Amino acid sequence: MKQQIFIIAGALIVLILILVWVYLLFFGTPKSAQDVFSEFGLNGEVDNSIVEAPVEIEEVSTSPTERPKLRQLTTKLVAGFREVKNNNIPLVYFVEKGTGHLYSINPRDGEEVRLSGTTIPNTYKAAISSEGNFMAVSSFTNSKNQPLVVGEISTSSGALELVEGFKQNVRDFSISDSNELLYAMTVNSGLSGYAYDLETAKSKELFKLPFIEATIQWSKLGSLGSQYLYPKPSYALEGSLFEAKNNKVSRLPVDGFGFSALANDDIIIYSSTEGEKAISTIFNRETGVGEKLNTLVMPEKCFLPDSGYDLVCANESVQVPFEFPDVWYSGEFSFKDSLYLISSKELLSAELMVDTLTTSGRELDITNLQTGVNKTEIYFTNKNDDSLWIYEI
Amino acid sequence: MKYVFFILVFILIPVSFSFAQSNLSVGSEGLSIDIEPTYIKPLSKFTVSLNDYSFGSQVAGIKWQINNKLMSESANERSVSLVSPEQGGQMVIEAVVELVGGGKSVARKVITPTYLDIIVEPQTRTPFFYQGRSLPSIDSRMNLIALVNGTTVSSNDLIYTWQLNNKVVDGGSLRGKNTITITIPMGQYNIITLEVSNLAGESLVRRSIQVRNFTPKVTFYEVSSLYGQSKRAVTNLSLISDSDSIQAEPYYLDIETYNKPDLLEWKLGGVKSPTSAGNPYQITLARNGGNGRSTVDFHVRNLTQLLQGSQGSFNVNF
Repeated sequence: MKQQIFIIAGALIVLILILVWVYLLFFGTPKSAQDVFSEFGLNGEVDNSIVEAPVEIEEVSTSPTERPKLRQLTTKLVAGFREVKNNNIPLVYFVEKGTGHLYSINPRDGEEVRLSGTTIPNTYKAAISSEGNFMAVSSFTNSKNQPLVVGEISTSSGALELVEGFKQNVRDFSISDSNELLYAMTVNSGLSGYAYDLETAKSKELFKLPFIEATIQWSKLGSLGSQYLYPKPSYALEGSLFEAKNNKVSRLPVDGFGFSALANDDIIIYSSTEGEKAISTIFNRETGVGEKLNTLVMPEKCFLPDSGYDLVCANESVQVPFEFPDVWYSGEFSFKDSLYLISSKELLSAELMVDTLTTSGRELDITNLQTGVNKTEIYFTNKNDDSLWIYEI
Repeated sequence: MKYVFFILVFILIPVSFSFAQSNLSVGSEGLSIDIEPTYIKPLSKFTVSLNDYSFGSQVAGIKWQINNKLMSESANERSVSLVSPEQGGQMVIEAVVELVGGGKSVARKVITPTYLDIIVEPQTRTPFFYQGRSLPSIDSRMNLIALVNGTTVSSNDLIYTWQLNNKVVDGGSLRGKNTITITIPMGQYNIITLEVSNLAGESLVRRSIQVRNFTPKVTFYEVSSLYGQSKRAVTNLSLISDSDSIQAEPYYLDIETYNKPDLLEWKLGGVKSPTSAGNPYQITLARNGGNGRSTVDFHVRNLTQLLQGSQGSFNVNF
């Protein structure tokens, strides 16, 4: 009984499937392609608008962690630069070499804005005030006495409004944090230093030296601080360090052949030639003790704050020629520097911050080291091409 | 009895005092302190020695005192190493000599360390961007400037005696003459000696320095019309653009020769090239079709003093 029911049910199912197949064979063929593919529209409507392929957007992060820590800030050649006060956000002002045009650049997004278009032909060196409202520019000539142009930048027109009376032959200059133009000029076969207050237009003498060929380390504190001076270095001639403060010049206890130095209230770092080898020493001014570094560190390649025992220096551990530092000044020898943090408070130590050649692929002969207002940025120029660089700590 | 005691005390005290004074004679004849080096810089090491060569008495013991403080560790030493005080400071050194058979004698020396810096400023050519000092060459002029620190006497109250190769300059000692100009004589190097005395004729400090003579050398630099002279020296130049300007810098050439050279010429591939009327030390190299390699020579010289001159060359690929 059961077997007969199963056979009848199976035969019925097979018959139904045959009938469905016959129906589809003769009546189920689609009349057009639209009958084959479904069209999905709103509420059953047909949407005929063109659907474009989605554009692939490459995400560009602006978070500081993804920017290269070491990078070139501008392609322009730089005559002078300074990080200016800008509500704790880094903003760098720089003067273009050759033209004297003033620019600002935001180190975070690289936005570059021309602030002053007043052209000062043959601009070679520039200094900018801490708020970016004054600048001083010297031009290259065939003489070491250079004409100096000092001006205030108009906030409305961007033009440079010249401060009169600064066309003398100036040997060196800087602008302090207190808006004083510090400059040295030859007077009666000697060198005299002055501080000119850019706000009040008052001038005062800082020092008077009987020699002319001097390298000057200007104080950021202006006339209130110490100006350090030494005869320009040469491996064949002796030099020594002098401190000018309160219109009095005193001799400091460091000297040597090929002598160059960088000083603050606590330490003096200096390089000199001992025998036929150039060496560097850190002299503790409190204890009167000098400690030799095991590698040559040029003071011209260091940043030293007004006080304290830590300094940032650029250095390459390499054998230098016998005629060093003369051949470095003449551009016949150059370095491929790395940046180091040197501490000399108790035990002398050095910590590598960045190997610039490996990191950037460029040969950087670092000079003009400065730190930013927040102490989180280090700026410098490459002596090889006067380009401006940043390293974010 | 009590009165006798007081009388004896009053009589004996002056006697014992005068006895002590007579034995503490300062700088007894034949007893002195020698110092090496003779003139001492502040904060520098020096050695003091007792000189009793011609002292009549036999020495039993020596005590050294510095600024009235006894150096117990240096007892009976004939020489002692010391470090001089800072600039402006003084050090009183005493050697108290105990004599055989009793008695004492004292030799005293007062040290006032002084800096004497002789700053050399050769009047020779270096380019304006050069941060180093120029060097002297034969027949060039050189300024010498003396700076005396660590003494309260102003430079106008000092007498300066300059010597060049053991010959006194300007005929003798001169008051307040802390700057002189010399012409570099022939030779490999020069010895400059300066002695500074006070108005009483007492020698305060003396120093000699040796300054080498250098041969002028030529270095070449590219010049951009916009950015000026490059600070990188050129040894081989690849002429990428149609033209390039090159500046020759004859380092250490006397300024007068630099300004008015008897001979100044450029050669391109061995052929003399016309010099620029504006700046004879500059040449503009222009591509004139084709390519290859050539040598650029530069020569500047004073024909009266032939050692005042220099020549150099660089290769150019174009």
